[in-house]
Amino acid sequence: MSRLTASATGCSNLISITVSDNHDATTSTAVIKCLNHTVSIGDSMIVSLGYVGDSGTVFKGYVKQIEREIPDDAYVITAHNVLIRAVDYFIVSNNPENPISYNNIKAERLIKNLMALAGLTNYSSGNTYFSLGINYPVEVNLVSAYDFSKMIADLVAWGLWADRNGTVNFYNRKPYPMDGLSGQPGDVADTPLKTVTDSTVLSFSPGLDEKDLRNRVVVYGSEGIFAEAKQATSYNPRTGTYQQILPAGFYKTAAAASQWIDSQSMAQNAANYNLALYNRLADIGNLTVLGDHDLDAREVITVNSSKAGINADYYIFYVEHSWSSKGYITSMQLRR
Amino acid sequence: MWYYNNVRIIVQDFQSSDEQIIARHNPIGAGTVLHYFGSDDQIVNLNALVVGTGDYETLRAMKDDQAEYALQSPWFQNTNYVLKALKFKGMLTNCQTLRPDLPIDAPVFELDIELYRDE
Repeated sequence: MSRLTASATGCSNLISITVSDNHDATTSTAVIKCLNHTVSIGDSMIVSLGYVGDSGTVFKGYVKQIEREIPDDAYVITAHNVLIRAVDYFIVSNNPENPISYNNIKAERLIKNLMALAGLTNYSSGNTYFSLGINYPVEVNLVSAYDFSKMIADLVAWGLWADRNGTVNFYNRKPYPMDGLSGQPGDVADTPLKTVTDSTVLSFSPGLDEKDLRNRVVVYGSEGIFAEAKQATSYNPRTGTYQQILPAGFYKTAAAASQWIDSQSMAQNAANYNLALYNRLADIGNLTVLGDHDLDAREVITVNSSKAGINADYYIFYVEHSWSSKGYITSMQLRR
Repeated sequence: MWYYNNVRIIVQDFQSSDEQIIARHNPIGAGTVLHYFGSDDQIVNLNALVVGTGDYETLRAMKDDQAEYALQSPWFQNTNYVLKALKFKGMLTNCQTLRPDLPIDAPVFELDIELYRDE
């Protein structure tokens, strides 16, 4: 029998803890229900979950909400990870004629500067080889540090997230296992974190979905700059090949527009990168396993299930750790 | 003799339960996996007789105060318990002899009482 253990900064008599993170989410979220606490809004919050002798940190962030529940006389504390500081940091210049501006700056450097404005200096990034402000300065005003940074990340189809250790990451992180063969900057083959087998699987429901598939991407830049990328066939992760999935001649289109794209090559790269990102079926599986604090969003795991007849690498798109008197379980949405 | 908060109760049935909080999980490729969460404090259930409206009202007054009171018994050391639930049933009696210190026509109630221990 495994004895459960958990800790949350300043909280005692813990009743339940839920920590969730999502590839598309701005921040991860921790919801802690307890009978007593000493934390205040804005305090640092670190959550650790697991079993006696095998536990680890699953969340680091700040307390955003404290709610008291009557008649249980319990407290529900909600915290978001450190990236919430960038969300809350609204950039407003004292003089509208003189906003913060950057010339000829790499995307990763620009995001680093914006994160630093919000006080987030634990930052790690790859090299995008994508420069902005070449012909016109990039002016940043009346926007949150996160929103502007996310806009840049979306242009190059990269990911921007804070991990469970409080570091802000900006890397080429696609929502599927990467093989390092795309030729895009930062494409490094994933190494699975661990193998999940039927001995820990509580439920698994794999399936295919074309909801997010887009086989045409159009990018509008500054005046006179635009680019298109399209492909009749789409990638099927089950077969590992490009196939005619949508009807011939039928295109589902995604569009992106940014005044900061001021060269034709930049616009074409943005269109190509996003077509590679979206022009694929999603092989989605909802997987629930016995609680495992190692499992985290944006990691890749191998699922080897003889019951499902699957032995493949999956990307953890969504993860939720649930710890309570009902036990400790980890639920995930996997994609490949 | 049994007393709860110094109220005389004539106990006819005693039940006590202690529980570990254990979750059961069944992975598809293994047997049952148990997760130990903690333990539940003792719960005592008594079926008893109470004589007289005075004791009846004294017991009922304890239902709102969230306080702990001593359960005295010949079996165990005095231990404090919180009153969780009370259920009375009036009994058909002509002449009670359980409590000679009370009038013979004092009413007799059958009582189900649930007590929580707060450790």
